[in-house]
Amino acid sequence: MNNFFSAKQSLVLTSFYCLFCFAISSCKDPEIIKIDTPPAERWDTVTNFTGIIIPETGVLNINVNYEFKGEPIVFNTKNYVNAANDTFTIREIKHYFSNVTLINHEGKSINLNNYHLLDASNANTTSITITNVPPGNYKSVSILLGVDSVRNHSGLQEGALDPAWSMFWTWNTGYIFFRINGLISNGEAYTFDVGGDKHAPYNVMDLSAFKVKSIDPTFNLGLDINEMYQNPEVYSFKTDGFSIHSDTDPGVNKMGRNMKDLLKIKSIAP
Amino acid sequence: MSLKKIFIVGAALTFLVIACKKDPQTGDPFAYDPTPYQLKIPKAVGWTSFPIPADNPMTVAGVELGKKLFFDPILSVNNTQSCGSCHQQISSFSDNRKFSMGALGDVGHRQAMPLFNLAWADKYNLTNHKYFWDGGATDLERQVIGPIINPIEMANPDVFSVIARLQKHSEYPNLFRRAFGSDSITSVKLAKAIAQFERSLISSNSNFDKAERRERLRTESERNGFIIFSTEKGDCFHCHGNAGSPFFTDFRFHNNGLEEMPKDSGLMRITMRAEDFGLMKTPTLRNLSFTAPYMHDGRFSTLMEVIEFYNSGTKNSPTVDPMISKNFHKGGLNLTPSEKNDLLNFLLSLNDSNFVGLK
Repeated sequence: MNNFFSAKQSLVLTSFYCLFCFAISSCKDPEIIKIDTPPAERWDTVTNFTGIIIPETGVLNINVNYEFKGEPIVFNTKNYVNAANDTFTIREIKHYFSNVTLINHEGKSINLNNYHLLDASNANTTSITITNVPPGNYKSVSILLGVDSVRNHSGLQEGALDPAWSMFWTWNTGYIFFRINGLISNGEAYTFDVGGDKHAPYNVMDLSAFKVKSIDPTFNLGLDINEMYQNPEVYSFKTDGFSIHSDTDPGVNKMGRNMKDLLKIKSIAP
Repeated sequence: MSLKKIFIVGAALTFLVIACKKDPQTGDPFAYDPTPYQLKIPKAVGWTSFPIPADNPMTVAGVELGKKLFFDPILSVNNTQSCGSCHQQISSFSDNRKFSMGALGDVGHRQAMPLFNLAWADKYNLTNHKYFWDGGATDLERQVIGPIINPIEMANPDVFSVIARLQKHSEYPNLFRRAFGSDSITSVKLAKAIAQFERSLISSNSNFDKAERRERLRTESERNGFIIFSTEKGDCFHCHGNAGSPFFTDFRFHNNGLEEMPKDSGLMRITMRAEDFGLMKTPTLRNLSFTAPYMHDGRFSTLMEVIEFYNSGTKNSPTVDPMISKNFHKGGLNLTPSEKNDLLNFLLSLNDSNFVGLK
């Protein structure tokens, strides 16, 4: 045999090589050992279940469509009239969209722990994809148009919650949950920066009218601005105020209560 | 095993050990360095530790970076002022001007607060209202953002423009990498670094502290003043902490009776609760010789004026603190001139010249 290395040499070299590899790999984080998860329970065998069935770990897509009385919002140029007869345009809609929580057929809540900042005029932000959604039979979904009290009151976070996005009150530290502004009929501006834990607008939507089975369903939601100004109480620009700038302004409680039914499910695609 | 093999295995093992140290091969002097920062908290009565946010542990590199940022005018819109412009070390990180002037020449309406022994607020004030005169900030990290974009302070249009300047800078990307593991600068890392520096500002070496440590004796006048401070005679201790607390503030909010109709709504601006009208954060009594003028509006320029105010000048109002109003019926504290002098000497014993860099 005319091997370049003798058997002895190659043994030494091999062991050196192995140690070398080990030296390199030992600097990385220890690899997470994946244990096969037991097969998911076949929720879809639940008799007569209506709602959304996600048979295995999947993806949830959510599109938010901004509307006024069911019609798509036209920014700046179109005049809108609310229940209190205020006439106004809409210039900007920006808001948090977080704590998407699926509730299964046993009433158990699964919080997908997501934080998004949506800008109605930027379609890149109004379509959301949430991965690693656990399998289950889901009968309702809850979404917070804001930030939960834990994140609202402590620390700083990167990403959607970065205070640099200016959806953050620095003089009274906490997040602006929902911002909408525009002009009223006399040309003056109205501006509502809504926030505060007290009336955090959790929107809960029933899914039982649907019968969809998919590992990556798409929820098409409508966000109807008209509902900010009615249900349960009529909000009038004239009597309740043209501006909200803190979580303690007088108008904020009424608006916060109205915002609990801003979101509606328009359709769900498998 | 042959010697050769032992040598090779040994060499490989040595390499294995070395390979796990921080980039000795590349020699990157700005490799991530998580060496913890050792807080200089004295071992004396009341000097307990304070909570540090789990997501912002203090490191030597983080505190150093925070210090550099604190004193760098790059943070202001026109490169004219740093945090240290209005929080000057010589003034115990306060401002000797009644109201500070912003980057664009605007003047504020409250006196710059001194910065030291801040983080004990996280231990002794468990509300969401901890920092600023009116309690508007819940923690030090969050507090950092405000002055950067306040139009009458550093006046940046937004935080992103500041981040962009730092990112283009010749040193900062490296310093952020060393402190946080990545040279991608964010507002969160900026705030964390400055908060780390602020937590490191501990003032604990006054004559009072030396007396507590038995390194010196209190003068008779200081001793008398301490008694006035810590008894009903002066009644200072209810808000400014008692003998067991070395901080000389309760980290809370009170209306000390400056005005019958407070012009600044104070804590109420934040909470919108009527009972918080005119309440301001209790400032610490440490380093008073360096922090003049006094009160949230800087109305008093000398400590004797302050003492005289508490002695005879407090005003009634619906939210005035009970510790102030309880002396109204007898026309104030009725301290004698020598008692006032003793109180002054006690207050002066709380000065820490080391901290402000004078010694």
